[in-house]
Amino acid sequence: MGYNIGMRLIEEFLAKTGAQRCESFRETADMISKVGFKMFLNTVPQIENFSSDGTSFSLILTENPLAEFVELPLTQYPKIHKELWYSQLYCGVLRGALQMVQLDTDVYFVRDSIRGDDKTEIRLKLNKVLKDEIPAGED
Amino acid sequence: MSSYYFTIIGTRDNPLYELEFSSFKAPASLIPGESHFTAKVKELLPFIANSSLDLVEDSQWLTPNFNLGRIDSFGGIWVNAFVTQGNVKFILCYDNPNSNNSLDNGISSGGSTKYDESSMKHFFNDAYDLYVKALLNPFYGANDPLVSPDFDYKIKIVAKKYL
Amino acid sequence: MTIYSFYIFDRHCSCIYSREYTHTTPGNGRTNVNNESDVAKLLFGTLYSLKTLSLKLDDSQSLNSLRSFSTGAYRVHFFESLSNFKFVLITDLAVETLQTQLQQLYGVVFVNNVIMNALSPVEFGSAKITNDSFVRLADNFLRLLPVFE
Repeated sequence: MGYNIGMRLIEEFLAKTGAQRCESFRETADMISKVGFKMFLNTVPQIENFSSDGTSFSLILTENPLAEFVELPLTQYPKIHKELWYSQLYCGVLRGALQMVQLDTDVYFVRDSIRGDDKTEIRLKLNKVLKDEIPAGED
Repeated sequence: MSSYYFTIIGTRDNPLYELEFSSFKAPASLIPGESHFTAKVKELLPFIANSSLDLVEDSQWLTPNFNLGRIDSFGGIWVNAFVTQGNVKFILCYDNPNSNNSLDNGISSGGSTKYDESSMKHFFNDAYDLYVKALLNPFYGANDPLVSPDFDYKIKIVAKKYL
Repeated sequence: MTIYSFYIFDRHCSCIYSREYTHTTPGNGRTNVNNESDVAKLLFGTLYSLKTLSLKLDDSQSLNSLRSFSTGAYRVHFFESLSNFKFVLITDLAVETLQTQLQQLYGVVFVNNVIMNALSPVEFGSAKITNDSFVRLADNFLRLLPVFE
């Protein structure tokens, strides 16, 4: 969910910022938080828990504009607190946007404060940097 | 010492929320905020609130304000009302301290205005604010009962602040 | 100085827009007729090879991107967005550089009329850009450039 939004969003991002290619995934992380989130959601998530090989990190959202007035219902569906990631949209958007700039990533929620967790954490993991496609039948 | 009964009534005259409490200003019992309506009055309160709905509908066209002020009284219980843009009604019933237990002994009270109209107005405005925030929750549909404990808690804080 | 033609290629190497400008009768020229032609394919192949070559010669990636190449008769201007949309303009030799203009064309006309247009796809497959407002605005943009005569 959100993948197609991300595909389009990245173009707007590139057009408005005129950003150049990042040299490292750390730079990408800064770009996502300080430029991307700032531009589209006016909030700057913190970057934490960079893995030692530099291929995964967490975004900690101090405020979440998507879930501002959201409160998960208590009674109707007891499973809701275990299975629903309300802001799952972010994962798709980030994955779609990064895929368009040749970064194949996995994005998933670790914690979400509207479930009662202490903070909202999204984990990004870089699988590989994609190569340019070449036309079929050529080598 | 006075007790209050606050209720929110939806657009189809369905109850959304109700709360009984007493003034926090001069706690008269060990449990602050515990209401002191007698059992007989307690069971009448929803009826008093709902019977004033006709008066709410009449008086909402007479004023440009959301807060309609005191619109009704019944056996020493006074009724203030507030109507939102979406036609949801907030109703606050409270007993008149000068006519303690008037419903029980059948004596209707004279007009005491010790109650601070403006603090009720503030209470309504803040409750309206909370209601709008609850309405912004995508899991809440208009005219659903307000069961959220968070909403309940916040209403109680507002009640404590003003009443 | 003049602009002869304009091409856009997507991530999957297919030509999603082609535009020819004829200068004898102003305001004319054909749209989307060359997409499948050998011209478009060869143009793409040449640019792709040149780009790869230029990266091989010096791998200090960031600023080493292909901008243009020229022959005795024409010059090919090339701009690639980070998302791999390739914009190609073919002009005569008198036109020195069109990098900023191509960037604007991408950032303003393309993003606003194709990407932000919910009815237009972003993965084109075998489709082409047939969106009138894009064609009109891209034409206007290029016509207003001093190099377009």
